[in-house]
Amino acid sequence: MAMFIVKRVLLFIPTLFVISIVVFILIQAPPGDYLTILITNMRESGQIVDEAVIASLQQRYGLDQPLVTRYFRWIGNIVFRGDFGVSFQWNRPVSELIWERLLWTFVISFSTLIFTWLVAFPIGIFSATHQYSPLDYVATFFGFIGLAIPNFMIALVLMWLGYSWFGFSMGGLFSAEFVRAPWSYAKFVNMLQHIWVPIVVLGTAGTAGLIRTMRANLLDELRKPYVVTARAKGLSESRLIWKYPVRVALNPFVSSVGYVLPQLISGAAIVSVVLSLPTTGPMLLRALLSQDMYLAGGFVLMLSTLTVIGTLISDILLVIIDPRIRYERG
Amino acid sequence: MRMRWVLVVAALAAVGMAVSAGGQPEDEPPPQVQIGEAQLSLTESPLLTEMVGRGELPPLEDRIPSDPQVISVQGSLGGYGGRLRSLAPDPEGNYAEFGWLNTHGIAQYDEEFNLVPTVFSSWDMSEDYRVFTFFMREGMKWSDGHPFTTRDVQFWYEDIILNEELTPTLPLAYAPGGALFELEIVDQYRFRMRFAEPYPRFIDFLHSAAVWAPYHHLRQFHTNYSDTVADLAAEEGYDNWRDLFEAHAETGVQQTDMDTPVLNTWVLEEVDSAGNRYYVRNPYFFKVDEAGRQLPYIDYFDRILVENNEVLNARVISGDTTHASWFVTMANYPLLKSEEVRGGYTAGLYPDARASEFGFVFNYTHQDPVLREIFNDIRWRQAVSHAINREEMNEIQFLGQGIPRQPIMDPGASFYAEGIDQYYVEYDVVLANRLLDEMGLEWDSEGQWRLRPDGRPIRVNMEFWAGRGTWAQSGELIKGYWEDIGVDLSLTPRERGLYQSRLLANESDMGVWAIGGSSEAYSRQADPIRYRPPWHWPENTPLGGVRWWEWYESGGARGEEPPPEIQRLYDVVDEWLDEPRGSERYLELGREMLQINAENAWLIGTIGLVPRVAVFDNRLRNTPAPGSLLSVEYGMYEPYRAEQWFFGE
Repeated sequence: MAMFIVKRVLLFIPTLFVISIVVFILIQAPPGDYLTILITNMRESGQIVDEAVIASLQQRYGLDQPLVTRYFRWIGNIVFRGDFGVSFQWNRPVSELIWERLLWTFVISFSTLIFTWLVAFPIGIFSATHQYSPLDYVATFFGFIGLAIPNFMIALVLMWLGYSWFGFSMGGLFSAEFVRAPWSYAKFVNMLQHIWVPIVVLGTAGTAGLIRTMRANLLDELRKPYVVTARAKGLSESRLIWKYPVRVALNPFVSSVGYVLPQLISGAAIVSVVLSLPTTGPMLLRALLSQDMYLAGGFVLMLSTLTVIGTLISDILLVIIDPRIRYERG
Repeated sequence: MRMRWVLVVAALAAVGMAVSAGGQPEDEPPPQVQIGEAQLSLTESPLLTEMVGRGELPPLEDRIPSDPQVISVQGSLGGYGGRLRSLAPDPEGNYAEFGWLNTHGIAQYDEEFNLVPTVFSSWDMSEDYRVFTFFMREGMKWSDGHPFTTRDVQFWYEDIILNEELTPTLPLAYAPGGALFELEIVDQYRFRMRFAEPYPRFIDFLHSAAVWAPYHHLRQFHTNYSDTVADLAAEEGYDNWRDLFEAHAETGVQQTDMDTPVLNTWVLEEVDSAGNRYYVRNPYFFKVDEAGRQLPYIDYFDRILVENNEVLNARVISGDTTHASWFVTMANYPLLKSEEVRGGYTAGLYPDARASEFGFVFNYTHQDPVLREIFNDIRWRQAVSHAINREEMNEIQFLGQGIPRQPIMDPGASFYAEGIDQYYVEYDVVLANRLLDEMGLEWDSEGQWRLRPDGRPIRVNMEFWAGRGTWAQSGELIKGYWEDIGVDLSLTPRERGLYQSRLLANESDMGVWAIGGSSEAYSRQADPIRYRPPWHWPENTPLGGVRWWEWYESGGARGEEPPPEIQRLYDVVDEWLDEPRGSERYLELGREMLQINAENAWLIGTIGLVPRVAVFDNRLRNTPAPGSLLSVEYGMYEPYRAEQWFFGE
């Protein structure tokens, strides 16, 4: 086991190195650069931009240097100084921007994950053990609706209802008066009043998916001979279900952990845009659109690292909860 | 003409003086100033009176120049207080919504769009247009209280403009014919700029010109004044002193050094982790109203960042902003109106100067000789223009609020001739088909498409930047109209960078953009980009005929020699730029420049002068009256001075 982890961690290095090259090239692949976009925007809003301004901007953003030089400066600074560069758009260090947003992303992500499990787990078990009962149909019905409606649509509807019924703007995590306030009990309550919207919105699709998976897995297990044997030996129904088939059916929950980290950074982008959440998705999207290459590069690199780590964590967890899964020993 | 304010009575600001809620000391009379016959009391915001009382600020009469700029308010004199709230979808953009509201150049537009002195009190121009003398306001201060003098101008000239690291290419506005002006400092408040050749156009640049930088603050980051800049740069994480200097010199929406002083209305106080920026009034601001009250009336300005334009529009509708226009779209106007009462705002339509919302130029230097010949035939351009149903486009796309026209300036131009924008605008498919018949473009056997002289059907590909919502719709409509004249138009939306690089490489059939930057003021300040090939910014968005531009720019060394009428156009434009604004010759050349363009219709427009939607909080006073021109070409809100806006009941 320990050997396996060490090997996997060592494999990170070449993987991430290759990823960093691909990332850098991909971000620079579209023609034009941040500057052409900036200049077009400046001119459209009526500013006078002559060649002198363009030349000094080019110099300022280092865009007059060749690609290879820029790559090695970028990756060198990251490896040796932990410096991800400065975002063109924000004029602030990339690491600062990313960490601020990552914190909120984790808060929302894990709340959502827990919400999903809390809802999906009992409903999934109930649906399987009471197959084709009216409540199973109800759960299935709502599950499929949740799966079928795009998240951003639910977000829009909730926002519109919030605005038209209660007259408050649902975007963001705080009301305007709390945005600048220091942390306090009132601010925390205000955050709770806002944060349930993204959790519910982001959780619905995942919940529906997990209910279905749980139900299907459990149904498979319930028909196996060991269940019949246990039942024949007089084990109580609840003890039987919880002790054996449910444990086996848990595997899909655990495998999904690996995808939670990257998905919540990139996958929730559209919902976060709609809800104006201070998470990483919208910032990554904007960085890509405006070719803010150091910010976008930093994000994608971070994202890749998280995916690699997430996969490792879920593999280890799988080994722990399911003794049947074993890795070859090196 | 210079205004002179004489300080008649300077009040004593006693330490520990009792301060009333109204902002005036209870026992002492307020300080008086006299202008002409009128004697005015100087007043300041209660916010600042408190600070004076605590000894954190000198008294008002020591903070403003002896000749402050007197602003005549739009409606009524206002009271102090409140907070402006502006929404932006980008961390770095929105100059139109914020920059012009807050920054001040040598000169600004007034409500009648005349250039009037702002930061400086006046200027003189020698008769040969070579020497410009500028008079600064005596006693004016930076926002940190440091005197604002010719030393700051000298620093800008010697250590920024003349420094090759900071200014690798000479700014065109200050270097006519490639020769930079020479600076002559007369005294603390007067200086001269000497140009090598007559340069009447310089007046047009004064609008946005800022020929100063805070010497006392920035010297510590400049290699000419400090030996430790390299260490400082390394310490703050910059690669070299140049990056360090530029970061600290930045005072726009990317300002990071809170200590960098400015001359702006509001100064940066805080940037939060979401990128929102919070500004507070500049205690040393140099403008007062007619009653002697220091401006601005409003104490705070928040610039709130939202995720994108759609979210921004939704927030506007919910009343989350005090003013908005640049990012608000005409398509949302009905919705904005219907939510007015609940949102507590008023949405209105304001005339704009944009010549056309959608315009296109064929590639007159096309690589395919057949298409090139067709495009260069005036009858082709007349025909395709007549085939467009502009009235219908106006109704579908702009709620009928625009004007079907060619993009030939806005009617506010001094040499505008009535009807010059109406060439080939009438919707007339019969006439269009007759013109194409005359050109000898036969129909194919099924009568569906017309054929080129080489027997292939006429196919034209319209590439456009996909980022603009209304452009694809305009393109679709035109594609439909042109089917009636047998022209097969295909539409290719592209990512901006790719689109622009194909235009530059002379690979497109036609170029498409919204036709702004077409006003008289903008054509003088930037370049008459809309009135000569390639009919937009040559170095990144040449809409058509890029080879002609290369020929002109290189003096005939590269590119392709254009036909005589284009050469004549280039000459007229150059002469026009060299004439002083308003002279007889200037008007004559301006008329000719427009006439050549109108008759030849190289640049074809659709709907222009579409009004701009603007939203103002109902409590906000002295904002632009409905019907006022609101255009980025005239500084957007600038003529309506945000410093004299205030909150009423």
